[in-house]
Amino acid sequence: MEQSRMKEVIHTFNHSELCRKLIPAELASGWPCLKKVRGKLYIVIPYFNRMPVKSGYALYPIYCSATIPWKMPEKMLDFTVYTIQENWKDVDYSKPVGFFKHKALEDIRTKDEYIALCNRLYRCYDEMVLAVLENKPFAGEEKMAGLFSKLMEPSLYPFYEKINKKFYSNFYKM
Amino acid sequence: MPDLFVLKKDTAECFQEGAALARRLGFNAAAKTIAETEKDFLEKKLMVVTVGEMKRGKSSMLNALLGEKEQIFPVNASVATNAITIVRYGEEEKVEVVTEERKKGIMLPTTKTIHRTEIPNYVSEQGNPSNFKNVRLLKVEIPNPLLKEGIVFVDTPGVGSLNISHAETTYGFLPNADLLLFVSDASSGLTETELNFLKRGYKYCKNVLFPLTKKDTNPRYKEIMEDNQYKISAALGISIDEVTLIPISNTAKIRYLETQSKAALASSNFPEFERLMWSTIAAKRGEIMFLPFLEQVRQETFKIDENIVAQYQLLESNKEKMLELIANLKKEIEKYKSFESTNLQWKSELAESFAIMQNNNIAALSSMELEATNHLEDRITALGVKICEPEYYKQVYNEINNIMSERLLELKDQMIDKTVEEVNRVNISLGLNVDSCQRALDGLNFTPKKDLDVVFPKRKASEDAIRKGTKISRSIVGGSKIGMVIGGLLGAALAVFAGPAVIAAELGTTVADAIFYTAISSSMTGTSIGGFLGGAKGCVDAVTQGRDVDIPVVRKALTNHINESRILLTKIMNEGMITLKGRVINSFETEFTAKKRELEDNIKQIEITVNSTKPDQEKLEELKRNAETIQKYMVRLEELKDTVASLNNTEQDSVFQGNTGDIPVSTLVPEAEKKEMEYSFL
Ligand SMILES: Nc1nc2c(ncn2[C@@H]2O[C@H](COP(=O)(O)OP(=O)(O)OP(=O)(O)O)[C@@H](O)[C@H]2O)c(=O)[nH]1
Ligand SMILES: [Mg+2]
Repeated sequence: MEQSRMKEVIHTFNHSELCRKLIPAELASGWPCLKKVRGKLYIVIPYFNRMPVKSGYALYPIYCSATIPWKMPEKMLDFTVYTIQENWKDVDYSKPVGFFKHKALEDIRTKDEYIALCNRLYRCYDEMVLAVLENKPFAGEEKMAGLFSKLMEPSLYPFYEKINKKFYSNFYKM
Repeated sequence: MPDLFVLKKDTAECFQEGAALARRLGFNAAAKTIAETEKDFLEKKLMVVTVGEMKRGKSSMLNALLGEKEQIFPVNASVATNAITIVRYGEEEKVEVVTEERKKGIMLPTTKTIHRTEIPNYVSEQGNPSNFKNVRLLKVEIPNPLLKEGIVFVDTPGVGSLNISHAETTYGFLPNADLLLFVSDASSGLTETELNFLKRGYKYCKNVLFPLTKKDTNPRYKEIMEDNQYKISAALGISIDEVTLIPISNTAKIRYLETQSKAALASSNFPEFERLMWSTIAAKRGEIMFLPFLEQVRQETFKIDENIVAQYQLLESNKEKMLELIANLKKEIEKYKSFESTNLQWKSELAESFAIMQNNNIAALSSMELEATNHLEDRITALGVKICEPEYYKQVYNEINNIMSERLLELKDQMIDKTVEEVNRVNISLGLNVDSCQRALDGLNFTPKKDLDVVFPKRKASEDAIRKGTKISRSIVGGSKIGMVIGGLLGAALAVFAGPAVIAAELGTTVADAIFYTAISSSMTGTSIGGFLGGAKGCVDAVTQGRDVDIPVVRKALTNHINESRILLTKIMNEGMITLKGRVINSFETEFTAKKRELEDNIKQIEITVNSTKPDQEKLEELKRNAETIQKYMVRLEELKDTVASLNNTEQDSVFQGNTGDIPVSTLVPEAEKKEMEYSFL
């Protein structure tokens, strides 16, 4: 099946010089959200730390995010480090907030299965972006919500919500 | 109203006496601070700065105001002023031009005396195109009585979109302005760029007058006046009534100066304008030129008084406590020493914050690049091959520069704000916001035998009020010093980010500092965006000379220009951050040294009292005499303050609070009208 454009965009940015300079190498990128600034479409990619443990990964709160233009993924509009933001000051970065994988993914057994599921969500993102670019209604909203709610790590969700409540809460149905 | 000259002389004398008194009583650190305050006081000028888009008539207006026979500021129908000109009082006329030249790798200022008639050769676009002579400043001294009271007029290059380096030069000067004359004219309305510039200036200077020039050219000038008034009030977030535009005609005033025609004077409306300007100046004069200095000296002497009074109380009630106080003060000294040698956490914290700021800079500049690139693409789409025509190409080139310059200025603003915030944080975390002598005294657990008012009935009521709540006399006067650290740093940050070094030097920064800044700031200002035209300039030439260019060539030239700008600015900002960090750390260390000296003075004085073989009664008498001397001195300071306050016959405007509203989206590219879908997730 065709590679998702969203996945590609994130990949391009993650391998850019800019990303290398700004974002600590050990951080992983999370689920993006869309954002419109001055009529142009951007995606916000959150980054968080994770540490391998016996049963999977320990997850740490979201550390920073990069806002990049959909059409020029090697560039950047904004970069926010949350540890120094006033409304994030109570977040404790010293302890994990949860573990991967979470309950909803119990039926997913192999890494390949997990990646396939992620790809389906990425393709939903693609459909959504296309709809927005063409200024048409987004038909796949429900499908996307289903996948998103399954894949979203519940322990990280509160931080996603802090970044963009309107977007993430629209797809996270728990 | 009191004569300002006399008042100034009195105040300076009073400061000299204060320094002598502090020295005589053995408080050398305080004596030094007071002496420095006196020096700053004598040098303090009130800066009246004209700003506005090019060709609005700024230079003409200053000429008309000064009324000199031969005009000082070059005026021209095409772009004229291209460097900052400062005009101040001098017994004899003297014109100096400050240029910057690279010597042994660093930029150094050179000053040269010239004749008045040569001025246009240096600060006008005609005599010095694109400022190739690297003029940073023109200093003019003239025996004009209007300037005699320490008023300085400053002419700045127009801030228009055509020349970004002009905007930056002028912007760098704004933090020094005490009164802004924001010039618009009757021939066309205010632009977005001008309003943005005004907003930025307003952040640093809340005293603004709005002359509207060229009233003679447009019989319907009232329409433009109202439109401007509306735009300004919206931009600054203040009510329309507070924005008074004064329509004037510079040409009519100049005609009056030549012909003495009363009709010309009347139609110039200068009498009204001058009345408003001078009354504003009069109202602000005391506040700007006297009060901060009087307050500084008052606080220094107050601390001396507190030491003596505390000694008196301890000696009278519980002698042993004096040794304890000395021990406490020594502990405070140890604390400052540890900040310098062992307890260096504050330094690493600062370094970390600066590293984060630096990262944010990289990000912001890359976002700037993106916005400019986006804009370029939009324009290519909209204009098609027309972009290869000189007119359109130049227009787009200017729009791009405009975007970049706007973002750069925003970024500089942010860096300054963040630095100040950081300094505040470190101040508090190191406990510098609490006076150390106060802490030493509070640690004593001591109740004096007699009420202070009984011993020193003449102490001023205000001090009684401050004293309330603390166990013994010393009070929370430490604030001023902290304020100074921050104030000083704000100046330093601005010098690094906003202003040419020679100007910093002109405004009282030390020579060493000036040279230090010169090394970096000359590359940061003026030359930053407009200066390196690189590929884009080549393309402009190609386009204007009618050589073959197509869209790919234009795209490449402009993309390169944007990219080079980003790279250079990143480098410059990084260097600036490093300098600033060094400067911040240095300021703290200087502060520690000053605190230690002050503490040592305090200890020494107490030790003298303790070790003296005189009978206690005699010691008490002596302390009382000293306290009374210093208190008498403080009464004098208060009286001077009252006199200065009587200079302010107009109320201070409180509505002029800082406005940090959004900068409106540039109107350069009108977005096509289209109905946007509403999404539940966007
Ligand atoms: N009719 C008329 N012309 C004016 C008036 N004020 C200025 N001018 C003309 O406007 C032009 C520009 O005046 P300047 O004083 O050089 O303007 P400026 O704002 O200093 O210009 P830059 O230094 O280039 O930014 C000159 O040709 C002046 O003669 C005025 O009140 N009435
Ligand atoms: Mg001029």
